[in-house]
Amino acid sequence: MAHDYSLTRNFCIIAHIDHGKSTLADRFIEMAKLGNTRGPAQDQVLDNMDIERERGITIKSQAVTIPYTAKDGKTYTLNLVDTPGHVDFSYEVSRAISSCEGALLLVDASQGVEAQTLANLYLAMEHNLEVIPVINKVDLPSANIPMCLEMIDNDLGLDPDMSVQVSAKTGFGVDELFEQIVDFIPPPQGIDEDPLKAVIFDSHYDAYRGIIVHCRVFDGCLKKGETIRFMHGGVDFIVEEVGIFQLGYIKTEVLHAGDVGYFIAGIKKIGDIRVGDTVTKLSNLAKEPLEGFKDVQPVVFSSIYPVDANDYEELFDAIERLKLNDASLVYEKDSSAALGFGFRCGFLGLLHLEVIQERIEREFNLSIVFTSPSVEYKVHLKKDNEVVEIDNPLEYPDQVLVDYSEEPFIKANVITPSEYIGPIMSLAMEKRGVQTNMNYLDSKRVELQYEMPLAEVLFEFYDRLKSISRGYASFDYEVIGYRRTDLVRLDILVNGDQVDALSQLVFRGNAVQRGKIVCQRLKGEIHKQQYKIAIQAAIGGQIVSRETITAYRKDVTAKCYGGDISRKRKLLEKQKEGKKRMKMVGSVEIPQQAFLAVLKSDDTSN
Amino acid sequence: MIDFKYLKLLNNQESLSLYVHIPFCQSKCYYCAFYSEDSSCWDEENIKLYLDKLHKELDLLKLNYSKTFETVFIGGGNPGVLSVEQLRALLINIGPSKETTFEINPESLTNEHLSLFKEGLATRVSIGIQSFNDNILKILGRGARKKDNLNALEFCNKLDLLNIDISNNYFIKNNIIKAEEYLSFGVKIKYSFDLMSALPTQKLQDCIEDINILINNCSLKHLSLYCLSVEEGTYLYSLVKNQQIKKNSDLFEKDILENLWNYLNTLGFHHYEISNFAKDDNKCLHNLRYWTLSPYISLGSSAASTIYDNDKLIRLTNISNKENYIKSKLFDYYKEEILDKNQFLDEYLIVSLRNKKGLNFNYLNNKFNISKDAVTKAFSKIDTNYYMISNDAISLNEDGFLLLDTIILDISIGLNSLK
Repeated sequence: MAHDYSLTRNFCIIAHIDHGKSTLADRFIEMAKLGNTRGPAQDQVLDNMDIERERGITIKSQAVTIPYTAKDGKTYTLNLVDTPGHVDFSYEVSRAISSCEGALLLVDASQGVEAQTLANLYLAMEHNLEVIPVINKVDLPSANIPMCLEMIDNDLGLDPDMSVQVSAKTGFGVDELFEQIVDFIPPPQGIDEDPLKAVIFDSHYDAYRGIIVHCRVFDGCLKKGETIRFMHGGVDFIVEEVGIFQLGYIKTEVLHAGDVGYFIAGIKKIGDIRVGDTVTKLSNLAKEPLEGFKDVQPVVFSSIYPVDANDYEELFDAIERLKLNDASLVYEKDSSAALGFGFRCGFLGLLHLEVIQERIEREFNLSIVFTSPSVEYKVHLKKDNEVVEIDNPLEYPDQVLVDYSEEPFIKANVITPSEYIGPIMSLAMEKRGVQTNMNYLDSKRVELQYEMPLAEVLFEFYDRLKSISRGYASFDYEVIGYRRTDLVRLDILVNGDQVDALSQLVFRGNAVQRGKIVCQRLKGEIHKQQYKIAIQAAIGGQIVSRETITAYRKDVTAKCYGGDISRKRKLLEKQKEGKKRMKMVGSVEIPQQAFLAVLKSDDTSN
Repeated sequence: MIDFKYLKLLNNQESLSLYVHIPFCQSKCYYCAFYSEDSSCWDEENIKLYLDKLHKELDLLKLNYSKTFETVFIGGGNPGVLSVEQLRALLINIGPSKETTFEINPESLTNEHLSLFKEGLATRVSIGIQSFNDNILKILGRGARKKDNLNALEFCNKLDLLNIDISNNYFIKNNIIKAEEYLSFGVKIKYSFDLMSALPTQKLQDCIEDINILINNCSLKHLSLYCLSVEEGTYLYSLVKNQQIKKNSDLFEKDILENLWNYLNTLGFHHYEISNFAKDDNKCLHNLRYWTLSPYISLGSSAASTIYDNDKLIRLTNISNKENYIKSKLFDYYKEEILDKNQFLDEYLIVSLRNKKGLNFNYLNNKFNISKDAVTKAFSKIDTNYYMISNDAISLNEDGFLLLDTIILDISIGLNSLK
C-alpha cells in the first residue's frame, strides 16, 4: 500500500532568542489539543531542561507531531522540529532545518528583524524551504506591525502578504497560521521503495531505553528488525523500535519517507552518532549520503575540576552522562597542580560551556571550577616547521621555541539601530575587529560585518554589546579560519607560586589589561590570611600587574572557660570542613569563588 | 539509689576542681551569650529550689569524692543575686580549696561579703567592671554605673586590709581540714576585674584611662581584659545587624589590644593567657585548670564538666533550662560526650595555645603520640614571627595571640593530616 504524503507537513520555527519561539510551539500543541497533559508549572513544553526554561532558550532540537484537522476537513500530520536558538548551535540548527520543507520565520512585533533571524533565513533558503513570515507578540502595546511588514519586504525579501500575525501568548491568529502551513508548505516527497536515506538531526539518552536517535526520513522506510548503517560513521545497528514524537514517544510500525521520528537501535556509544549523518539500510544501501554533513568541532576549551578532589569520580560520571545527550561535548582527562584531577573539555561556544557548567552543578550537585576558556591556537615552532595545536595554556611551549602562532577568526555579523554604531565600532576595534562591510538595512538599522578573533568574543563581547546597545544589537558569527597573531601566556602568581589553572593564552596587546583585571578580581575574592598575599600577573617571568591583600590583623575570641570548650571545638570542626572547599596554592587558600570570578572575564565597561 | 556511672570515676581523677553555676541576673547584658535569666524570669522561690538542688548534688558528689576540691569557682549569671547567707551556706558545703572564687557584679557587692573572706570560705573575688564610662555601661546594658564600680574597688581595698586569722577559718574550726594541710595550700586573698576594650565609641585613651582608674584606686594584681565579641543571638548582635551600633574593624581592635597589652606589660603584668594578666603569683588557679584540660566537675544548669576515664576525655553538659534542672534527677546530665583522639587533640590545641605556656611536647607525645618534629612541621606554615619554640613547648607570642583562631585552625589541620 502506497503511503499518502499529502497529509504530512514538516516545518521548523526559526527566530531570534526571545522572539517567542517556544511559546508559539506550546500554543501549537495546545491548539492541537495535545497539551492537556502538561504540568501547570511548565510553560514551555518543548524546552525540556530547567536551564532551557530559565534562560528562555532552546539548547537541543526537539520534535513533536501535531494532528490538525484543517478547514478542508482533512486531518494533517504536522511535524514541528524545534531548533536550538543560539549561534553556538548553528550546525544543529542547519540539520534541523534540512529536515523540513518549510519554516516559520518569527519576527517580534516590537523589535523587528534581527541578525540571527537573517542568518537562519539564509539557512532555510539554502535548503529550499518555503518560508512563512510570522509576526509574533502583536498583542503588545509596543507592537509595530507596519514596521515589521516593511522589514519583511525589504530586509528579508519575502512577500509581506504571506505573513501571519499572531500572539503566541494569547493564541490569537494561530488557527490562521495552521491553515497557512497546510496551504503553503509543500508535503514531503520521497519514495518508500527507494534505498533508505534519513538524516540524524539530534539524539538523546533515555535512562530506560538507551540512546534515542531523532531523524527525518527522506527516501525509503524504516522498520523494527532492520539493519541500518550510519554512512559517515560506518557503523551498523539493528533497529529495535521506530516511532514519532508526541510529547513522548509513540511507537509505530514504520517510518515512511517524509516522516520525522525516532529510532532506537541498541547504540551504546554516543560518539557513534553524529548529527547530520545519513542512515541507510544494509540490505539496500543508498549510493551516497545526503549533502551537508559536517563533523562539528569544538571551538572553546576549558578545564573542569571538582572543588573537592574526592568528587573526581562523580564529576567523571556527570560528564559521561551529559555527553550521552550532547555529542558536541568532548573531553579528556586533565590535571593541574592547583586544582588536582579534572577534565579538559571542548565546547561549541561560550553558551554551551555555561550550559554544561550549570547542568553539572544543578543536576549532579557538584561544586566545580572552570578554568579560563580558550580557543585552539596553531603554534608554529622554529624547529622543523612543526605546528602544534594548543588550547591548554599549560601546554604552550617556551616562547623562545615559538616561531609564530595563529588563532581562529570569525566573521561577526551585528545588526543594530543606527544610534549605537559609534560605541559598537569602538568595541569591535578594541576587540581587534576589522570592519568588512556596513550596510544600512533601512533608515534606522545598520548591519555591520567584522572579521575578528574568536578569542575576543569569549570575553564578554556579547554582554558588552548588549549593554552598549541597550539590548537592541544582535550578533551572529561563523568561524572563517586561522590568522597569524602575537600570542603570549599570561601567568598568575599568588605569593610567588604560579596558579596553573589561571594561566591564559592571550594576545600580547591585551595581556597587561587582562592581568590587571584578574589580579583585581582575585583580590576581591581571596580572604585575608595570616600573611600578606601578593597577587601578580606575569608574562614570561616579567610582572605586569600586582595587587596585595593585607594580612589578618586580629582573629581571636576573647573568652574560653569551662563551658566554652565544646562549643569552640565544634566551631573548629566546622571551619575545618569549610577549609576543605578551598584550593591551596603554596600557602594561600583560594576559594572556588575566586576561580569563577576570574573566569567571568572583563567588565571594563562598568 | 541514683545511678550515676561517672561518680565512681571521680576518685580516680588526679585532682578535681568544682564549678557552680548561678544562672540568675538582675538584668541581662546586651552582649551576653551565656545562659542566664533576668529578674523577670525568677523569684526568691526559684533561687531557693535551685540552691536546694545544688546542695543535694553537692552532698552526693562529696560522698563519691573523698578529697578536697583543688579549686572552686562560683560563676554566673551573677552570684551576687544570692544573699550573703545563701552564698555562705553554699561555700560551707563546698569545703576548702586552694582557691575559691565567686564572681559578682559591682552593684551586688556589700561589706557583708567581707565576712566570707574572714572565715576563709572564699579566697578570691572576680568583679565585672567592664568600663568606668557611664555611657558605655549603658550601651552594654550593664546594671552598674561608674559609682558602683568605684565602690567595688573600695571593697577590694578593704580586702587588702583584712587581717586574716587562721583561727577564724570556718573549715579549720569545724575540723573539716587540719590547719597544717590548709596552710600547705598557700591560700591568699585575691581579687580580679573584668574590663572590656575596643567598645563602641571608645578610643585608645579611654581604654588606658579605665586601666589607670584600676591601678590608681586599688592594688591591682589580676585583670581579665576582653575585646567585645558580638555573638549571634544576643541583643547586641541585633543592634549591630540593624546598624544601630557599629562594630569595630579588626585593625582598630588590633591596635587597641597591642597598645593595652604593651601598657600592661610596662606596668609589670604577666600576659599568661590571651585575655588574662597577673602580677607575681596572682594567676587564677581555677581558670588554669580549664586551660590545661584538668578535671573539673560542674554543678548547675548549662554547666560543663571534664573528667577522664583512663585516657578518655569525657565532657558532660547539664541541661540549660533551670526549671528542668531543678526537676531533673540528680546528675541527670543532658549530654555525655566521649571525645575521640582528634576531638581531644582539638580541645588541647584550643585551650593550650591561649596560654603563654603553649603546647607541651611531652603531653602531645604521651597523649597523642605526636612527636616534637611533627608539631614543628605543622607550625612551619605559620609565620615564625608568631611563635617560639623552647625545649619542652611551642607557644605563641603577642603577635601570634592576635591571630589565635586562625593559627589553631591551621595547626589542627596540619596535625590531623599527619594521621
